[in-house]
Amino acid sequence: MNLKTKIILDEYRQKKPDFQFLQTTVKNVMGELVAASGVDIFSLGSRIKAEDSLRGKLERKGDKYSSLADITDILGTRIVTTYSDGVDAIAKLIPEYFIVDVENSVDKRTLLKDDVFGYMSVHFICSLRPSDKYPEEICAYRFEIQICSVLQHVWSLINHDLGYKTEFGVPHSVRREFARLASLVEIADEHFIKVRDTANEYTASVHEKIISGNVDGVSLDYTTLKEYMQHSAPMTAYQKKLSESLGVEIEYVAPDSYMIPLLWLGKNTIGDVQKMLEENGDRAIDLARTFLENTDLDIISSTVALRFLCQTELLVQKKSREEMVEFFTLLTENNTRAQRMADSLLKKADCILR
Amino acid sequence: MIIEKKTEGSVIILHLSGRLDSNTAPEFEAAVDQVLSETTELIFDFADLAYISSAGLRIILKAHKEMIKKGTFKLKHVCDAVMDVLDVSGFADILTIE
Repeated sequence: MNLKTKIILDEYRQKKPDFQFLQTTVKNVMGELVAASGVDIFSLGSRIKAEDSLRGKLERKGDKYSSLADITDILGTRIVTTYSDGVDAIAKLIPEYFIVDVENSVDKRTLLKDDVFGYMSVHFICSLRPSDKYPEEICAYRFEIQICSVLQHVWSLINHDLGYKTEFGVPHSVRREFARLASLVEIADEHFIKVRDTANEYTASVHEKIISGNVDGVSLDYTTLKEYMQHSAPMTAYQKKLSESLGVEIEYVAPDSYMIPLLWLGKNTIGDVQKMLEENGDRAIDLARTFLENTDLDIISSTVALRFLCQTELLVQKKSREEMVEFFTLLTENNTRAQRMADSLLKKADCILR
Repeated sequence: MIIEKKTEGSVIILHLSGRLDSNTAPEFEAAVDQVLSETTELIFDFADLAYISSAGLRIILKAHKEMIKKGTFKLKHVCDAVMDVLDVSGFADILTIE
């Protein structure tokens, strides 16, 4: 080990607590940045370079560095976005939260030639802003922020694991395979954005139909049921009525577990569910009251509306005990519970059907 | 009410005995708040819980909301009386109950 390497390693050991403070601070600021961006994040990670790794770097590229301050990745952080368009959205905000060393920051996407495929992350070299009242000596340290999509992250992990750092030891055929996989990652990233956008457009169109009350032809699925429970005027009014009649607070929960049971009852569209509400709404409230009258509950879930509408429907359709057990098994995935629920419901049948 | 905390690997189990009502809920909530930051796998063992009120339901709901972001949350050995409350309140619809 030469003298310069020894001096830098000594400085590293001495300054390590500073980097630990920097790591915590940067992580907090990145958390604020991510929250402000509204971008869907897969992970937000950081590490302080291990001493062995720093020694290796100094032995390989020692001529480049004259002090610890010259090494910009002692603290390395990585923001991994779920979708690749999140990378730009996050990158745009970095200069608002950190001082960016523009000269040393790299957008690797722009460095790759048209016919070359590889790691597509954006790298910023940053420091904390003294104006944010951090200690002066901490603001003097630079650190690295990498931003990439989750698919790019996975590609990079495996690429790193299989020899990125020892390029000379990796056969040409392996490097070519990695380049081919990088091209697939790029295409897959684009397609995931399209899938997400299509799903969002579908939700928006469903939302519009639910709000307008035009629900007759809207097929029943997880998206339409959720939108209906949250945004339909008749359903939200019904939940309010249920809440007032029973003197309870209603907490919204996802209605997913009712999808299959509703289909079993023959409700194939949101229009069918609305018709069930119009025909059986009042009786369902009466039924709910008989179940809740001996409890001291002051909070129930929003799915209670569906629960008692479906149970009223079971009674109105004069389903047998076996059919009721089948229905409740679909709802609870537990046959013993289903049998108890069917028996409890049958005991209440007279209150509803008289 | 008696609360016993057990750790099995990465899983934390809170075993409750007695009644979970507005009198005992603060003690249980404090125990839950403490473990929420300690684990990604949380189980409430209700084998010896005879009664639950709205105050107890609110704590279960809080634990569910926290754990859904970072791991798993289950209720185990729920007796019929408590199960009836979970069913009629509708919260059984979103909880994992074994």
